[in-house]
Amino acid sequence: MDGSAIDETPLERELIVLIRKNFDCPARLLPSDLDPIREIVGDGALDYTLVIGLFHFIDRIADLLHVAPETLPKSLRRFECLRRLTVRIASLIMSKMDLQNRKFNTSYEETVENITPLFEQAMGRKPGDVFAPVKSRPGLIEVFRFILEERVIHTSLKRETLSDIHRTVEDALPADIEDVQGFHERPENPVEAFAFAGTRYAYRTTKDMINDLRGMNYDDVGILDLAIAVAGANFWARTHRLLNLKPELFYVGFEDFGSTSAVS
Amino acid sequence: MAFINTIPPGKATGETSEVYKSLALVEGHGMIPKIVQVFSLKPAAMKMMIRIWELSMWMGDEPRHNREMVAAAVSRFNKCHY
Repeated sequence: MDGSAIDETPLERELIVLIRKNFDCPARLLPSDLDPIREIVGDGALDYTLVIGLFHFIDRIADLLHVAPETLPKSLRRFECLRRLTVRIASLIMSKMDLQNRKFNTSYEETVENITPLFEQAMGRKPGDVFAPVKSRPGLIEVFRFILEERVIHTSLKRETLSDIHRTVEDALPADIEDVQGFHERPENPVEAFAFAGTRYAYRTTKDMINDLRGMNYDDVGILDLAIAVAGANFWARTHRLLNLKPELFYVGFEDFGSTSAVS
Repeated sequence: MAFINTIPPGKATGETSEVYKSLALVEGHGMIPKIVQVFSLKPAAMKMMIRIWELSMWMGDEPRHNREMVAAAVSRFNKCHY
């Protein structure tokens, strides 16, 4: 009884191995962790890498900001007829969704061209071949463009704060199952504590932690930006390792990252 | 209730309202999940979120049911309440 399905496919088994490692020791992720999945689905492994990264982002936004579930309030869940009705409505909504795969109509060369002005603004140079590892999935470069745009153009956070968050996330990144369980000393600085908890166990985020941020004059938009920064760094921490992209492409103040992240 | 204020679809105006409408084109229905509404104070971030979701769940070759399985497993490991 290890929780795995009796009739799981080889792909499902390898995906769960990868998902588990992304959860309990992402600091040790390596590009070679994708190899077993590549052997089954080729570059489809990159599609799954993106889904894993996205849900590490979404889950953290949901938990750091305490987004209410799309279900009945707890007090109403004891009414069976209401629960059934909710499930039927959800099914009806799902049935209207178009879940077929869609074509990404932009070439690798075009996506690199599209990101170049932003990349130059952020890095002071052209991207060159830094995105070559994801050449077969140019959609990944568009995803990267969006998170970089948020970091460079839209965020209200200071560069030093972003750098602090990125460093805290990398330092707190679990290297062992013990890091995502039990209790650990949190940083005293409320922003770092938010990033630390958001990396190890975002579901433990409390209202008091948010109040501490408000005490530092972060308003609703500021707190949203902090959550996006923490979630975005957690997305990137996993993605750059698996896709063999340079960490400093997204992290602020990580030019010397290679010499300080030696967890293997 | 979320730790920050949000703008519900019925009260949204301007860019926020436009981004809400764009989600219907991606999803094929008009329901706005709360995880999208939480970005409503920053329409640009909400737009980013919607496009990344589309790129992750619809683009590429892998079947949707496998992607949903991956998403559910990640959230299960994370103990995400949402």
